[in-house]
Amino acid sequence: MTTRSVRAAFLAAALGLGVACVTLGNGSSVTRDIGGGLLLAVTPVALVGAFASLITTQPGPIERALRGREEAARLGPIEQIALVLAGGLAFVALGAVVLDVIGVRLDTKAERSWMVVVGALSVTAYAWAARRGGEPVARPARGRLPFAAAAAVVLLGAALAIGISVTKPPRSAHGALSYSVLAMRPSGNSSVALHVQSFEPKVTTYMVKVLAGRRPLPVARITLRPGEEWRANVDLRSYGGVDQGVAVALYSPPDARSPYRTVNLKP
Amino acid sequence: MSVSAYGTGSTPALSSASDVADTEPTAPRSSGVALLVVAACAATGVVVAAISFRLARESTSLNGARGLLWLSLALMFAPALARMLSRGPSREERAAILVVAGVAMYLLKVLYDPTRLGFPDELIHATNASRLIADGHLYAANSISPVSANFPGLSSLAAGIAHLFHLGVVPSALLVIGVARVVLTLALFLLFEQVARDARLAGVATLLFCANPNYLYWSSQFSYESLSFPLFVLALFCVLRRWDAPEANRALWTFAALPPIALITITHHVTGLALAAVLWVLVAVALRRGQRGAAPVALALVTTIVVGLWLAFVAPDTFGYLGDIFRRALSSVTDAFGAGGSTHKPFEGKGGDAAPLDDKLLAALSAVLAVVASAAGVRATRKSTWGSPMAPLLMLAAVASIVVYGARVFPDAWETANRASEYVYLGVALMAAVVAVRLADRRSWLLRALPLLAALLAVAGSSVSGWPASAQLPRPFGVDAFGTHVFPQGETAARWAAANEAVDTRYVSNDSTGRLLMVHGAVHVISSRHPGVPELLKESTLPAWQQDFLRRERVDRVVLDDRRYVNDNVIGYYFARPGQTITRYPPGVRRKFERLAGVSKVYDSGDTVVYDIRQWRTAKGAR
Repeated sequence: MTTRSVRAAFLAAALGLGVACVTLGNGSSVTRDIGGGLLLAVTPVALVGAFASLITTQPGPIERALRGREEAARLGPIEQIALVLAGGLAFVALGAVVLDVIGVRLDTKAERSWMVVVGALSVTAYAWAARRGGEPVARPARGRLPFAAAAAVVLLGAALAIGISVTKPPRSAHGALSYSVLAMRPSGNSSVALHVQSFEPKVTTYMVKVLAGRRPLPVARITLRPGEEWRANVDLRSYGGVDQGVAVALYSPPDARSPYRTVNLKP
Repeated sequence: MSVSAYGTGSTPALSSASDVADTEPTAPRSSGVALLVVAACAATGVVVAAISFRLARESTSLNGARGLLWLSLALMFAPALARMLSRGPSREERAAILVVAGVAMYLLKVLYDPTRLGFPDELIHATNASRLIADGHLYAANSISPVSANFPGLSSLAAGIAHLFHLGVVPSALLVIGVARVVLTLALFLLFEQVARDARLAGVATLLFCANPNYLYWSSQFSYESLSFPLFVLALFCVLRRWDAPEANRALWTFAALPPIALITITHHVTGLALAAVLWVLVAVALRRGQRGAAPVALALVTTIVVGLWLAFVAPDTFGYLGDIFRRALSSVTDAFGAGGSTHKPFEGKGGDAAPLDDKLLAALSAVLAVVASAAGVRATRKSTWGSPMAPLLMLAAVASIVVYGARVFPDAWETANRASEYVYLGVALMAAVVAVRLADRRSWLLRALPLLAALLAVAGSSVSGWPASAQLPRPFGVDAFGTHVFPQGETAARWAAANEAVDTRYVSNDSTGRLLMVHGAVHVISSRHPGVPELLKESTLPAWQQDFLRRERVDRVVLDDRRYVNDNVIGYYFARPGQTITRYPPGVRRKFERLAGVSKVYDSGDTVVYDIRQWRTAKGAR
């Protein structure tokens, strides 16, 4: 990769970052998604471009100041990759700490805060590389290894994709997984919110018996398919309200004698 | 070895070719074909692992799944080691093969549960990352692991990726740890190469590090040590490279070590302290050798100061947390030798599931192999010409592995021993590699095959000893059954709580359901890790101290689950395996709450119930 192509790639990515930044700032969900997609595409280019420009150009003034020019020029690809990855992780995490210290929000409404970190990293790396100038560093030929490495990445990616499709949720229930949920919570002073959810293996008819104080309410019969839920707000004003205490029992025929699930609100 | 074996023609560590042991008479070849073969085998191993995991979730017998898991590990590991033991590959090819094997083994963890973060520590750190994404608080409180909230390195990276790429917490977390795995692999290779001055030996040692009991699952989880340990190794490499560099070039390596040190400081307490300790040891070694210029005084000072300041001002409760862990470990060992002491049954999880006999034998064999290889390696390298200051430290670490393996037997020392495994295995891997390379150079094909066979056994066995037997293979979490998607009862209860309860509701719960509650947004969860809570959730009586506890902690909801295995924070999130015997707590545990005036049962899914005790507690408190 030549210095010129690195610069071109970086400028394109920086432009994309800017557009994404503006698009994300717009509140509409559609434009935010477009911005997110754009960002997904351009950020790796920006980061890789920035770091590539560091790697492929001659050591610059900072390295000279550090008196490590020869050392930097001799860095092999293994050292470069390890240091760039670790440096990338470190600078993003430290950027978050700095943003937090100076009071910049890091929540969902602050994608731009994170872009400031990534953008600043890219710009710094690029500026650093630009100060170096000169011709790209000559690298020894590496034969077909880069192609084999790229193929290895593709192979592992394909294996992961196949693996994920294989590990989708099992379909076997083994008869031991079924259950039903009964829940209740007060909904103001005079009514309760009931919630029944069925995870039974077949369509199930339930009876819901509600006792307000000592007075029974009309029995509700509900039929739920597996996964289906039933919600009801039960008005207890004519039964003395919630303060009298409320007991709810869920029956699942054929066993109509003992309740399957129970909840209560004690007075 | 020729200098070209190092790829770029020279390394600063090797100021002249004469510094390098002449072990490779021919120029290394890198056609890429071998790398492709290794990658194809590893990719096949990934697919085989996925099939194994699917079988484990669906079958009543685990034998087939277990066999496939061993096969997948063999496919990922054996071809890579075979190539690594040969003299052929170039330095770059070795690194590429190592990365392929390391990433493939990480994908095995990803496929364990690709849709969620389900390992115990993952739920804690996923909570921190989710809170950071939702609220923007870098140090959001974490009631189950308060210390973790003070080290935002990991959560900030996951949150940053989630924000930038509009990803969820799960893929972001998997990406961060995936990158950390690549860094670890390369850093190990560079570190071992810097110590041994031999790319072949370094490659073998890096692969043998996979036999560390934590490598497969523990170090692959979304947890702060999974990020900090690779940086620890990389920082050590920078320090060693600085040591060997000409005087004029040392500043560059000092500079290169700073980002890893900074990230370690904000990511993990023990790693920061360990790095500071190792750096001071290296300073002492340098001074003793009269190599004042090589002594990493500045880096040791910087590390000590930044780690110390962080612990003092940002994470002051860390000392109490670590002190408690070490105190328990020590008393566990001393108690075991006294009257009434107990030892941990090896290969048995808290859920009580014992490992099959063949697994136990494999794990024991793995430990024996590690100890024997360490001893033989130390013996072989005792009088070596390795000039690296890390060499004696790594030999010491290899010897310390005997203590670490032994400490795993004691219940409360297990955690300390487990966490120390990675550090001591740096030494074990290098010493074992010395033995493996020597055997591989013999004429007898049997002796040449021995390292491969032993390494395979070591990797398989250590994966058994590093993770509870009951969780070696995944359990069903979400099940597509009856035309719908069914979650375990704990997950359903946590989702119900998230939808219906106030965020500041204070819960008491078993550890696994507690972590699920937190991941779904509950802020205050007192789990069974807290003293007093296990008795509250298991005993049929409610003595005064338990009532005082509930009042003092201002508990609003008590979440009970009858099933004992659910209290295990490794397997408690999942459905029981088909055919698994489920033991239960006595019915009196529920009755002790039900008979209290003012305690309401607000949620009932059969095994899981939620009691609202606020009315009882406030009445009690008013008295």
